[in-house]
Amino acid sequence: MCGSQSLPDCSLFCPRVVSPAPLVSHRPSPLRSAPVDRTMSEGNEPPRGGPKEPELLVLPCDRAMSEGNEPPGGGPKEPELLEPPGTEGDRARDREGSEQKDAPRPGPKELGLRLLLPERERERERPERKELPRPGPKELELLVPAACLARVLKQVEEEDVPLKGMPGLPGFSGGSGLLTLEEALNLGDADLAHLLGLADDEEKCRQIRKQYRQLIHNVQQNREDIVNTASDSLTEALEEANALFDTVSRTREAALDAQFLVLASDLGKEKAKQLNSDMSFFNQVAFCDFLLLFVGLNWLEADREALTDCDDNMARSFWETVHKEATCWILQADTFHFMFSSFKTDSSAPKRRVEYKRKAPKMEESGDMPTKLRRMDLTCNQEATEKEVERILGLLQTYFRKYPDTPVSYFEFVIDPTSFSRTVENIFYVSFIIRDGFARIRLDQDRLPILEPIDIDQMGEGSDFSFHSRKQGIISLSLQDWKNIVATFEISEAMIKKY
Amino acid sequence: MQSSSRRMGVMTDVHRRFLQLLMTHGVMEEREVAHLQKHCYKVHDSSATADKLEDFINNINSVLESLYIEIKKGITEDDGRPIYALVNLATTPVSKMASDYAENELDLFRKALELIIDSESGFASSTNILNLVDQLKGKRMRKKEAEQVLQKFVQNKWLIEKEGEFTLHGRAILEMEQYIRGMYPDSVKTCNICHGLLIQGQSCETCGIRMHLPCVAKYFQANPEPHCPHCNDYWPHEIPEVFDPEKEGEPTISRPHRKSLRSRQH
Repeated sequence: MCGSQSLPDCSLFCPRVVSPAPLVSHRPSPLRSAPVDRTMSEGNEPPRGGPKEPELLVLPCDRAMSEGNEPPGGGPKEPELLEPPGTEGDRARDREGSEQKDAPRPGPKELGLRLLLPERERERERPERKELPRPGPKELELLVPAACLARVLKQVEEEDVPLKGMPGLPGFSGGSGLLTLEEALNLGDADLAHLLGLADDEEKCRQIRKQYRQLIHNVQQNREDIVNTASDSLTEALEEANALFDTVSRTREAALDAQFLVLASDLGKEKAKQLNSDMSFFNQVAFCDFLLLFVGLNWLEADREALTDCDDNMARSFWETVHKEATCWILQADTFHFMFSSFKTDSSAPKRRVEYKRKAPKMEESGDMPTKLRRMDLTCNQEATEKEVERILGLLQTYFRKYPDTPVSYFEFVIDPTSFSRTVENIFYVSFIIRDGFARIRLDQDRLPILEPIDIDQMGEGSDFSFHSRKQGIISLSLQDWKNIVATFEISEAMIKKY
Repeated sequence: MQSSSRRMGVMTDVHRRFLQLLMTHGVMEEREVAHLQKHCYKVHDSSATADKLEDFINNINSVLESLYIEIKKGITEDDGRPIYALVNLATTPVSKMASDYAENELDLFRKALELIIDSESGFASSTNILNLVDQLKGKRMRKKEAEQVLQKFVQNKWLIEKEGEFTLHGRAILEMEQYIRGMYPDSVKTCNICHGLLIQGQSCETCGIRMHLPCVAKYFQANPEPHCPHCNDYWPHEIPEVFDPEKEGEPTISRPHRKSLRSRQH
């Protein structure tokens, strides 16, 4: 019995313990492990101390009174019955925490406050937690005298008491968490306070761990349900875990949370695998067969010849049947379709209309302009150049015919006094003429360039032509030069008329 | 409702069915409409005597008045058939949210409408319409898509296509008359006889007045020497026949049915 187990311990290690009876730990009656509780409580009844025990735990007792059931042993105040709402199975721990807080009420006799942490866990959670290693009977109990506790807690309130070297405090269950007797006895008051604070936390953490394990157990139990049905149970479990995780502050609980998440995600994966991804899979042949069956025609039985005879009627009846069935599924009345006022109208549109109209007749009147433009733009440059060259050649030859044997001054021929760009163009075209051999350019006695005609018979002399064609010259003309030439030569009008 | 002078009529299921079917088609010829009315009576209320079509439709119109929707009666411009169309009459925030067509499609319709109204013959060539595709508002539309959109308009009876040229369907004229008169008051053409909006028609060469083809048919009916009513010049165009509903066969609704039967006999 747990009680019996505890007794020798306390007697061995805690000389200051007045009452061998464990106070709180043995009455976790509202816990799930009811039989255990009862045994614990029963076992503990005989050694129970006097009525002073409960006095330490007044507050929780009150709560217990309001909520809890009375243990079979039934004292007037049963702190063990206390279960703070929502934490099943952890009430004892909670009570311990609250007990510690209630410590400022010293009882007339000092009573030991036994924190049978490992044993309690062992006892209470035997049916629930199978994975935890059971702490052996050699686990120590940490016993704190009540008066000492009161002092300590006052100090804690006044100043922040740092903890001195408390190794392995996190995780009381298990050997590492416990302090050896010597350590416990050597603890200063301040340390004790922190230890108690930690123990307080420990209770909470144990609760959290318990809850996690419960959650994991539940999910594992309901695995089939969760995976196969389209219920929200997995989502709910995840939400519960989320809520639990908010209270987690240590890695141990976090590890449990991770364990739960692994489980939940495995289940999620199984659920996802079950999703039918072949949404677009449509067996046309099967559909056709079903459709014919539905309509009442049977291709396999009837002869094909027989079918063609009553084709019309059968087809009509086919469509009528399909129509009747389909209307149930396509229940959509047509909406109102309109055009008016469905597009935004610009207020400027009417004005634009009038302007456009006015422009249209203008364009038609000046008929020459478009044609001219078209000729310039649409024909490719190659043709335009050739045409210009021919035209200028014609002009040149006309001039030579008019004034035979008189070479024309190059500048006079090429320069247009009104337009520099036109002059450059003329130079460009004349260079073609020279290249093709219809005229030649040379310097006269004044070292000014002149254009000379080449007779057609001279053209026949291939050597001459090739000889000439090897020579090249570059003429450059700047705006200033052009102006100077116009002034010097007194060129008043262009020889090459604009088209 | 109480302030309106016209007493609002009462709609029964016959009226409702009729309205729903008319809404589906958008526009129907008078013959089909009469047939539809009879059908609706047969389905719901075979014992009652059918109202005259005019009264029947006026009844429905009085109920629809508050919604700015109306069943309008008009005449097709090419052969003078009377048609009934369900049209929207007012610009409301709700009507602007109409989602039959996308913004660029509506703009295409608007540009086509403009071209049709500006044109001399009332027809806008598809080339000219497609050339405006680049200037459309909204998402850029390719020429190929624009062709399909124009076909969609023809299917939904907003435009008529004839030899590659588009003109407005009777439905569009009935619905958009208000809009056209508002937007293009200078370029809008009217018929000399009925003073209605004119898209297609014949015009006198000397004085420039125009007339609808059915109006011409009615005016110059059995007149061997037609003269322009305005300038009294000889009317050079061919006078079309007046539309005679009796001469037609059965209503077009049942025609496809018969055709399909015939086609099955291979």
